[in-house]
Amino acid sequence: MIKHIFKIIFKNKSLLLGSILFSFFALICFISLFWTPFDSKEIFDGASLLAPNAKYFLGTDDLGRDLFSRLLVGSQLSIGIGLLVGGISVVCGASLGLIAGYFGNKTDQILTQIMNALQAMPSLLLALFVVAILGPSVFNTILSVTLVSIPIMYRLVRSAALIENSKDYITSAKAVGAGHFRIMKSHLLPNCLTPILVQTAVCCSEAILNTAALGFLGLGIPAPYPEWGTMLSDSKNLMETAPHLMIWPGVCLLLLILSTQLISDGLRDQLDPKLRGR
Amino acid sequence: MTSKLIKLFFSFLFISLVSFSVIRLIPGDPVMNMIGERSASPERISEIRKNLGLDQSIVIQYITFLKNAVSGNFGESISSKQSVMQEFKILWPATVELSVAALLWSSVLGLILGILAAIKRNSFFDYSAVSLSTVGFAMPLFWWGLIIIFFFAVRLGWFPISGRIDVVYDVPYATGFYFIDTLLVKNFDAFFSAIKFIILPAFVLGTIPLALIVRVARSAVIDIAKEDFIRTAKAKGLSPAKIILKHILKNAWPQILTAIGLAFGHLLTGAIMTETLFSWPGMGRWIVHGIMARDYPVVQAGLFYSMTMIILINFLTDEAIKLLNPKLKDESR
Repeated sequence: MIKHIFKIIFKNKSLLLGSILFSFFALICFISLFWTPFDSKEIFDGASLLAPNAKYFLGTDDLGRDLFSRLLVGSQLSIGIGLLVGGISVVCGASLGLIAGYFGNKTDQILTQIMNALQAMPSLLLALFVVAILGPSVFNTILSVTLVSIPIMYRLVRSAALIENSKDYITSAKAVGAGHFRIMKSHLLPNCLTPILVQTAVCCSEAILNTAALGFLGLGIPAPYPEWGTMLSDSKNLMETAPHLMIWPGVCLLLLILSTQLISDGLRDQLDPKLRGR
Repeated sequence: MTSKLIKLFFSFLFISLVSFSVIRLIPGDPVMNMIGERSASPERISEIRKNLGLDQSIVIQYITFLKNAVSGNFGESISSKQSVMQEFKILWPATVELSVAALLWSSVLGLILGILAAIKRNSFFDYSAVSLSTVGFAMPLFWWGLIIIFFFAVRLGWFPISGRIDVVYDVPYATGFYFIDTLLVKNFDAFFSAIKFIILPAFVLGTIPLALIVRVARSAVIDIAKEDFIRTAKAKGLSPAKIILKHILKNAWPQILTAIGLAFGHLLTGAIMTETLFSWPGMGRWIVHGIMARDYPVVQAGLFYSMTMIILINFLTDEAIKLLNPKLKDESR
């Protein structure tokens, strides 16, 4: 089984590249849990805005904190939130999508109307609103970002479930007398797995991006946490004196988002042969 | 068609409900926020409350809100003391101008790159176009904007950092679109200044649509090129240019247009970031400022108008696609 998975990964270039990049970040995240060169919150006197040097590998920020350590710790937030939000939107979005696709009619209409309303707002605005209403905190950021990503998952799973639902094997399952839950779990879900898997990776990358965007607008995860978007926002006014502060958080963010998108592209190619080679 | 319009009507009702209730979800008393806690005597508070209509029941408040929304009366902005409608009138052309500029360059370039990549499939050019579009699609817009500002405005000094037009030019308000207004008064220096100011933000804003359109155009052309009628056209001895322009593009058009419509949705979201970055005086920045400053009338109006714009754009692209591709007419999607 594991051998088979590795074989697939090595054959599919975007999946391979994406997995390597993502494992790299996951490794960084894991290491930073136990070890960073300096404490990410420690302020060193007289060491503010240093350019990269031997002691401070990537330089220091305006308060005199080590940029490299902060970047390492920041990966915990981005990856953690990305995975968490991806997970929650799979559970909520996909199950709601299955329910809507399976029951159809009224249930479908009501759920779709609600999701459409959530999607009518630009995603960033919706996230901004939720944070503005509830106040910036780690939990509220996660909540707002999840709220944005559930409708996207819902829509895809619903349309896949609608198509599957009209097929003969579902009708025969119903004729045999299988219960609603059983049909959804063991017939619909396995056949809708492709969009769900692909979309999980997409939700993950959207979550990482939106978290950073909120941080950049000043409504993200509050101060002591070294969140990459907030770090970028802090570097905005220092771009002439300390460009290194602006470059590295962005590079990390770009590569992390890229890795999840490559994984989702690769998964789609692999699981949906109709789309192969696009 | 009628059912479509009914649906559209209900969407409007819904967004009015959303923009009405969202404000009331924000904790804190709006009156207290407006006048500050210190200067508040009970009489003054009840007076303002009455002026705002906050002493009425929530249903009546909603009906008043609907009436006002239809006539375009959203009250006064708390921070600037100007009529919200007046502010909106000046701001929305800025956003539309920026979005259209971004969409224009990105769709033209995206189409060309996508088609070329499809023709030269599996060549070096194809691989670089595809990988660049993958990277572009993953780009965090705010960081990309910072980098662009850093290189082209701060380091090289080729373009201005922020704003919409040089302060020395006073453009009389006619349509609100600087490109039209400056030409109306035949002030060509101001026109070129407006071009110079729009280049960087439009470039940043168009990046993600560009990536999207390159991908879609490429895959659409590859798909169509596999069809039998293309083989027939080749067998007839038509020139490659003719095959691409007349046969492939004509059939790839609906897919590409859908992507452009989708990109427009992305643009309005991206405009929030881009406008904040470049201090572009448009709706996105206005709404973000409104949220930060708890400027309720601005948030309410901004939300209502931006959602209206998105719904209308989605509706129009849907209809345009159906006109172009009659096959889709019967499918209820």
